[in-house]
Amino acid sequence: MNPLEPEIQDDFERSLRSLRPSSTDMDPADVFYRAGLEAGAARKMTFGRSDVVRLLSVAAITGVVVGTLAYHAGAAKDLTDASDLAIVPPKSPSGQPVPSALSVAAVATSLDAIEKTDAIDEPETLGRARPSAAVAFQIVDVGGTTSVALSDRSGMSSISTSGLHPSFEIYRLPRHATTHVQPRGVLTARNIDAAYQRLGDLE
Amino acid sequence: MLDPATLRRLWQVHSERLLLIARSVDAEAAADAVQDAFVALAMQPSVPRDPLAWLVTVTRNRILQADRGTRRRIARENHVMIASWFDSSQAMIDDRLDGEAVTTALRQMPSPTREVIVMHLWGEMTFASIAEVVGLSRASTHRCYRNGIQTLRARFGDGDDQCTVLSAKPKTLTTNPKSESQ
Repeated sequence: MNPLEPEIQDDFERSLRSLRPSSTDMDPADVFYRAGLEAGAARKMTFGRSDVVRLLSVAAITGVVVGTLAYHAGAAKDLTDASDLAIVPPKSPSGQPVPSALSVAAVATSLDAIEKTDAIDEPETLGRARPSAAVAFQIVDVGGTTSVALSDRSGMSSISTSGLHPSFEIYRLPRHATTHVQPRGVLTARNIDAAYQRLGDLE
Repeated sequence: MLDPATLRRLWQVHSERLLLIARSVDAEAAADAVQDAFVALAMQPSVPRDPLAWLVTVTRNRILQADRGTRRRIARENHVMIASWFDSSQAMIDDRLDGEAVTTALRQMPSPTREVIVMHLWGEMTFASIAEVVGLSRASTHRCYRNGIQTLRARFGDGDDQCTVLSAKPKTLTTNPKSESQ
């Protein structure tokens, strides 16, 4: 007998068991980002910065994908295999496209502009002079959920649009488009390696 | 540490069941404890032999370690609503079993009976795993479960079920001719 197999149940127990747990209000992005953050901190003692960055990035990205799946199973099925952040057409929980003031192309352009102008060109936002400044992962809207994962140099992390540290300004584009977390510059997943490299150079 | 893909898979498989089990331990501190447990899981060098049992143990310990004051604070911060533990929108096999009513009945049960039932029925954990988590023998865990189910059956089960339980006693008495003659 499979040791994981539950013992025999009668009809009444099977009826009880057919009750499904109510959906969770937990934020998986938070869990995965914290996991990545702690793993990164643990490895920081023995590994190079690029390893830490990679771990953090993967954990954060995965967390968001999982979070989306958890909250919008079905509506976000097409994102199951997403290997990186991507701008996708927003959807309602029913899977129908949601009207947005910003087109996907416009959001992409906006992100590109931020990458080019803020993050790398203003390294002081990440340096020792601003210990609370953050490295933010820019998470675009997927399946109707907007999530943001970020960390600062002291290990603080904050996730989701409702739980951000007050030192961060939130620039929220129209709902279902994207959210920017911007101490002064925004780092996206695409340029975070370069930004950390720059940080390393500063140190 | 576990790789993100593994963690993701474990989250998808276990998170909702784990949250339900955590609610049976302490509804107010459940979500935080579950998240902490997954973070702790991520730091493991490899996947535990029985991931759900491992997660349940860590989650339960986190909840039990937190003092009541901390739990009250968490509840205030999270604005915890003690809502139904079950999805009430689904079509039920047995229409007598309402998710909210079952939640209420479970919440009125003593610990660890409530936890054992939730772990076994909805967590699909074996009694051996549950026994390890709650620190009882397997036999005691099973007895706990049966007593709890009987309570639920008396509340939600139909008359036939109750009669079956009640009629079992005379039947066993007749198996002993001596006692019958006395």
